[in-house]
Amino acid sequence: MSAIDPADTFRQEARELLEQLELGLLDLEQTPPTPISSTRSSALHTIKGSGAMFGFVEVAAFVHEFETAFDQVRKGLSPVTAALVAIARRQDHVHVLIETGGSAATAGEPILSALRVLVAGGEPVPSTATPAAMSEPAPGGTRWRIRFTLPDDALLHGTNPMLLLAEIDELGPCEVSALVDAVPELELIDPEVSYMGWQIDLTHPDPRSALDDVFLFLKDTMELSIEPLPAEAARGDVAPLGAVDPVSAPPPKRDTAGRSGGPTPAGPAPIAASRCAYRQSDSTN
Amino acid sequence: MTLTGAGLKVIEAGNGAEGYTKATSQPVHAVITDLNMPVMNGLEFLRKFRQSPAGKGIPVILLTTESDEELKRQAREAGATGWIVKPFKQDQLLAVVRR
Repeated sequence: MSAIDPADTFRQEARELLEQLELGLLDLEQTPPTPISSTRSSALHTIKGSGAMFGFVEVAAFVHEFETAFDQVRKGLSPVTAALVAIARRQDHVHVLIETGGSAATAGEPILSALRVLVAGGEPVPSTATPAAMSEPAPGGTRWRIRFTLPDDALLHGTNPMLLLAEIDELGPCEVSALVDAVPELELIDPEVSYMGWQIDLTHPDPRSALDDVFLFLKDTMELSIEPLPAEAARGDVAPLGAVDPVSAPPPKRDTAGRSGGPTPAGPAPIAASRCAYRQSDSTN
Repeated sequence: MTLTGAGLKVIEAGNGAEGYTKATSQPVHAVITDLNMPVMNGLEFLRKFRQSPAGKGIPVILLTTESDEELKRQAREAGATGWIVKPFKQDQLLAVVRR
């Protein structure tokens, strides 16, 4: 039996969503333009989130800017103009990014620059798409490290971790990493068990109350730590795990059967991007 | 009304048993169930639904007038994804469903 490549699944999903988005542009060309639908926002958000998850970081960053721009339009902060619709058509650059594995990211920069200028009404909008920019603490904000592991049966009971991450994404600039050390060998994986954990470095004055809402239904059964990051990490570097206070120790490692055990020794495997920066790497590096 | 007004297709059932039949005989994206229902209450429905192949991975939200921790514990053990304590505002329901 041949395994399904998640990247292929993403490519297929992205193609279908981009077709939807292209059709939706016709609505914007009407006079007066049809308000931007939640479907458009949702499609962009899905491409961004899935792309980030499957390692298409450049796709996620590119789409993030379009999502931000259309959010501005949807809120009435920027007008729908012919120029905006024209630049929106350039979102098909995502096809190129997917097919070239991101090597065409530079070619997309002029598109994004034009988009920023248009949305800002002629003034360039500061980009938040690059991981470096997203790692900078916001003025007045504090960097916090959030680590969580869901209960074993969370997926089975209908919890979608990506929606939780999306809610945290809404709180402020952040960097998300997947904690994959507890994922067992393929033949030992129970597809109904949640093995992964996540680490989020978030810039926010104090996210504890907001995170209480995010994890409202899970907080009594999940592993969660929320700690302010030391100053050196707040300057933009992600603190090594060893530098984290023991109180915020990483979620327990699970054994090959997926059950909790000792602490996770290796660093996280950052996975993906949106306003949050998600990264793809191998924790064994 | 709240959900259909938000563009969601809603399948209604008059009690837990009817809800179980409807929720397992067609694809659904989420289930919202009352706790106190005739024929089969919310916890019974939930346990049975989770044992069904159709109930795996589907979010189930319990609507309840109760807010005690023991009930929440039982709901979690039965497989609840979340709960909303009545009375609730329309936007609270939508926020939980979207979540």
